[in-house]
Amino acid sequence: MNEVVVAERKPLAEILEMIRHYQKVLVVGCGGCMTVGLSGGAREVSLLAQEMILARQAQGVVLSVSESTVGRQCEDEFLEKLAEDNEEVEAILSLGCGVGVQAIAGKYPKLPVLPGLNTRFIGQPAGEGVWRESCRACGECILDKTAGICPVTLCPKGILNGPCGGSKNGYCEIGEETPCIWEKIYQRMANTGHLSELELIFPAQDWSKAQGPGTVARRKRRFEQGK
Amino acid sequence: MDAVGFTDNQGAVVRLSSLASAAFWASQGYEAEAILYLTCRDRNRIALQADLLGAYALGIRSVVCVTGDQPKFGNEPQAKTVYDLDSIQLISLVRQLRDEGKFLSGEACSAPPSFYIGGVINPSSEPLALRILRLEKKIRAGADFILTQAVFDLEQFERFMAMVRERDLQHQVKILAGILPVKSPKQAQTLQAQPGLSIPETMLERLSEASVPAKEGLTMALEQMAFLRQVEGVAGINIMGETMGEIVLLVEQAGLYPRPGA
Amino acid sequence: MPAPLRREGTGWVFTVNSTVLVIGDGSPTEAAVQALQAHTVYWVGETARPGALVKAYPDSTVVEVRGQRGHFRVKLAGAKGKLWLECGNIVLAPRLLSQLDPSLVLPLSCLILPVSRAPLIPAQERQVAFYLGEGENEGSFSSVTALNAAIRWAEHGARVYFFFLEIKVAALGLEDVYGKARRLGVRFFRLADPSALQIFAEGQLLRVHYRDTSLPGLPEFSFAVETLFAGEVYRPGPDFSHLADILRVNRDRWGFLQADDVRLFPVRTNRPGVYVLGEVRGPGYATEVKLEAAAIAGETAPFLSGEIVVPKVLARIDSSRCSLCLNCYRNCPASAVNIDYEAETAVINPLACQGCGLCAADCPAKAITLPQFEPLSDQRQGKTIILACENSGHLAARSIPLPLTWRAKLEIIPIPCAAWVDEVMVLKALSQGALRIVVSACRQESCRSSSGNRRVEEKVLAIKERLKTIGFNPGRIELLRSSANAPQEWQTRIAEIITGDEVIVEVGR
Repeated sequence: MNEVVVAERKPLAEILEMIRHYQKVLVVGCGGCMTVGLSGGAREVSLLAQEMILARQAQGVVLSVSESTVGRQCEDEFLEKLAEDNEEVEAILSLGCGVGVQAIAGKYPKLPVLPGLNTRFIGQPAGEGVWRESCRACGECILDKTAGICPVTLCPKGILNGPCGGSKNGYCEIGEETPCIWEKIYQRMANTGHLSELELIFPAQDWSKAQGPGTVARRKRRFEQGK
Repeated sequence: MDAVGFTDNQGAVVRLSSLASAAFWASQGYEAEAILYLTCRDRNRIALQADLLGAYALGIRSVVCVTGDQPKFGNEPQAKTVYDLDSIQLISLVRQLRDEGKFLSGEACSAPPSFYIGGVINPSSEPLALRILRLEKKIRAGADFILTQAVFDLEQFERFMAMVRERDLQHQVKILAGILPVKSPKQAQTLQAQPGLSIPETMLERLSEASVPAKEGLTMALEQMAFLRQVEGVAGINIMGETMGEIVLLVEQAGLYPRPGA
Repeated sequence: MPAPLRREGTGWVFTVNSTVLVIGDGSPTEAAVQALQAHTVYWVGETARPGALVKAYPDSTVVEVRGQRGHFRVKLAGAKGKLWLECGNIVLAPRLLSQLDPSLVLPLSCLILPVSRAPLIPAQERQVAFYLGEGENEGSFSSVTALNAAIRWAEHGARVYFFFLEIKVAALGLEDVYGKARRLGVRFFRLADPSALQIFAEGQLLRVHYRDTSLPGLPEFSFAVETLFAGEVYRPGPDFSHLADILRVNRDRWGFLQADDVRLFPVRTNRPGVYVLGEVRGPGYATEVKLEAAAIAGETAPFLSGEIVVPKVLARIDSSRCSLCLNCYRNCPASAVNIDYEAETAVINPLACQGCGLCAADCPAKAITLPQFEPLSDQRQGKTIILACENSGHLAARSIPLPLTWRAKLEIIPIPCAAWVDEVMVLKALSQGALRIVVSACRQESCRSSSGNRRVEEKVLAIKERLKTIGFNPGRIELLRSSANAPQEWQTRIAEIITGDEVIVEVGR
């Protein structure tokens, strides 16, 4: 399935502040990462819609909310259907990641498109209801040299010749909730007989791709009729 | 004292810049030379190379390259970190400037600075084998001298130095052991939370049971200094004190002033 | 995932496998194999023997189980390599292993023996001690043996110290045994808590320190003993605990393979098609093995025809909405969900689905529906809605008449299980004008869907928190636990909740 872009719902108060001028709002969910990550799928859309309606009721004001969830917000064709039955909508609240919000804003530039989530990182599930960041999309993958563990992401300093002097008994200087990732790399390389590779000095890294905005272009295959 | 080190926003706390302090010291013509600390936390390779050229131009001849503590520990925890390079890459860079006259980019430097290059290691974190690996990497990257984090656990330090001697590393680089006088149980607790330091139980006990903890702390520091001086492979001592006064006191009481003969 | 064979009325007919897999050794397993003689049986166990319709796998262990009732696929690993078997039902019937009671804190010493060895050691004139711990709560197996052994030693002139947390003498004749031991001079010490006793190895002896916290002055006593008999517990061996993990079978608080849920008795587990028999359910069940085996055979008999009718499909997944998040697969209490990787969807197996609705409540894509339970419709103005579990509250509500004044105030809606309740449903009802929602769930250990009602408490608390953030009174959702056979109590509890009605409206939303 998709890699998981992990996001968190913004606090209700912040969202209510964003829509304070509007009476008719469309909440849009995303069927991709946001559904799998339990932050912006159809259920979360319904939940937010109800919260907003009730919160406004508590203030004695009526808010009209419509709901829609598209396969992926980052795909132009999937966003077409948002225009149906939503002519009078004053603002769109997207429960997609930052990509989705911008895609919808690009498709419907006349409407305010608001982010209902804070996009956090690319990560993977680590137990029920827990996700951990695993990839920084730095553009220069070195996982072959670090036994499949990413120091750019998992080391708070992102150093390539670790561990630093702050590593204490297997934990990062930041605290005992964070293991020292360079020690984990060391252990895995020791266990698989690759320890000597750690003696090589990692030269200064090319961070130019890690800086945005990035573009990847690939020649698309086109299926031609009759061939 | 042979030299004075100027740390670079140590503990991620904003202070007078190390470059300014070191340059000022160097301009005063004191016998003790200035050592500049540079961290990778706040500056990218462009700024670091610029600072190296500037430091040299202002008379600084020794630089210690460290990765740098994270902002979480200091007074600006919301700061964005840089870490464009790590300490080993920085050591490598300074050596390349000195020995090849080239910047990191490969371009020639018309007036290459010639620094005495230092690094820092933490000899108190297990597994020690990993610490030795780092020490070797820093040596190969070009370190001329190494400062250790403050040593409190003497037995563990002895084990560490035994591993150093096994590999003959003490002849490849000058190792200076770190001393940090701890003068109260509260200070001990604060230090314990800092990265790279761990204070053994016996020290904490002595401090809490002493009638005048500050005195006991200095006594312990002197004991540590005496021990470290006789450890084979230790080429010198790096005293980290809270005040200049206490450092002077330590140096005098350890019998190191006037400077003993070589 | 099986496809149905044909429709039958409102239901479906599925072909099923009539073979039964029996795992274990000893008399429970023998009883199972005997009771299931009409079926083809696969027997996995060290003492497995082939029979007329029995295939034995003595050298193998189970390493993986897939599928559901009617279509299990089981992977065996053994000396001859790996092998996949197919069966329709699984019976777990091992013997228990004895181990020293883990609640006892003992030093490592060859002078410490399990109580079950006591009858084998000749009694002599020396100092001995017996020590029984919290394990006696599971069943007084060590008590009986220990008391009889203590008597024997006392009769031979030994000085006997008997330390215990609890001795249960409710079994026939045990009071007399205890009395006899007292008369013979066995010294009994009842421990207020385990820390009152400390035992050390001391050269060729054991030193026992006992601190009495009930006598004035908190006196301490010290004894040296030459032998200590320690209480034992009987538990499934480690390979069986591992098997329970693989099978996703819930355990009780001591690790026996049947959760503390009266709805499961005598032989069921949370998983349809997986049965437990004999002492693996708990040491007290070792004696009824023949009857239990017959109960299992009764449940598996319909499989002999090769077809099973599922009267109605209880829960269904809309594949076009499924995002393969794996929530339903991971959380189903009956493990009734399969993942079809090719079709990229989760699929519910009707042969195992209990219709609790936990999957529907959690599904982030709202892809799962329970056809028998419609979402709440409109027009709730000012009413208290009671979402009543059809296994408890809803039955209680219907068994005696409700007060007339309640008719206008309440709306009682049946739900398959408290698990089916989700936040959106509750908030929607409130936004459509409902005064309050009450979730009427079953009691903790009586959930027909095993874990359904456990999570309802978290859900209700989460909804209360959300109501506070929205600016609503958190009292507008309440949880009530009850049982079907206590209708008066149910009405009393509901009355308590709805007398707060006027207060709720005035004190603010």
